[in-house]
Amino acid sequence: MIDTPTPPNVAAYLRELDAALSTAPAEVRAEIVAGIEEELVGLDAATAATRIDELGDPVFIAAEATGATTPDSPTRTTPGGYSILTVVLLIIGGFVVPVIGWIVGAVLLVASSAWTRRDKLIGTLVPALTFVVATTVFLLLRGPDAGVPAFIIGGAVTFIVGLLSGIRLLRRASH
Amino acid sequence: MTSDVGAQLRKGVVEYCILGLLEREPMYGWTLSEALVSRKMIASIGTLYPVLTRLRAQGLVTTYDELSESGRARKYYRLTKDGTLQLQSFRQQWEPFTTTVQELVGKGIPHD
Repeated sequence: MIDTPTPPNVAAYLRELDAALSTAPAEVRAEIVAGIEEELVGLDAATAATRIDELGDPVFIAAEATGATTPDSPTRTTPGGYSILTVVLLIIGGFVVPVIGWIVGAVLLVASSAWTRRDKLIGTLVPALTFVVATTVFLLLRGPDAGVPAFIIGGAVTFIVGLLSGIRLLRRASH
Repeated sequence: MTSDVGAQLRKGVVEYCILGLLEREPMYGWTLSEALVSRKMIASIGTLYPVLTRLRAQGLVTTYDELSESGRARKYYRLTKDGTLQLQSFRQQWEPFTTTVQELVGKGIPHD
């Protein structure tokens, strides 16, 4: 048998699938990843891409797997105290205790198993980048002396984006 | 009562559909998934593996590794003796069950 290198799209898909299945039972997670891996490994990138299209979004597969594992549980769960605290800190933590409050929320988000890796990336990067971009644009428009107004405007825009991002996270929390 | 009647019906019988497919021949995960997805019995391969895990835990299916044409090992699922008995039991109940439901539900009154 000649081992062919795993195409990057296959490796990326398997990583994404494994991360999306983080809340599924270990045995089911291992079976799904192994079952899909044995189908994709050995294919060239183009054929693998077709198979990946057929398989669909890893998040959807994971949601189906979790739903099938607990057949009697409702498909939509109510976020728990941990998830709510995390989202509240992400939205207003940075205003109550500047910077540190938000960082605590981000750490709780990353450490949680209630969200997928994609949710964690969106939940942290989007508000952080919004603040940096909004503040920088304001400073570029008004000059370096407008530091305080730039922070106020940047904070206001970030609050709105953080609020929308927080609502999204609460809707997607698995517990 | 749930509004998605189809999903509830599929959930109730998908295990027996898997047993029925495996009675004809041992299959691996991908081919099982294709057979069930194409018939709209499951939405994705994600639904299949938890059911297979459950069937294996119940001793109704078992697995073995076989080399594919490319020389790679594939995990095949096949029916056990208990699985065959379970499928036979389901078949005996399924036909009278569907007949009874059909009698009770009827074909509906045509509306002009």
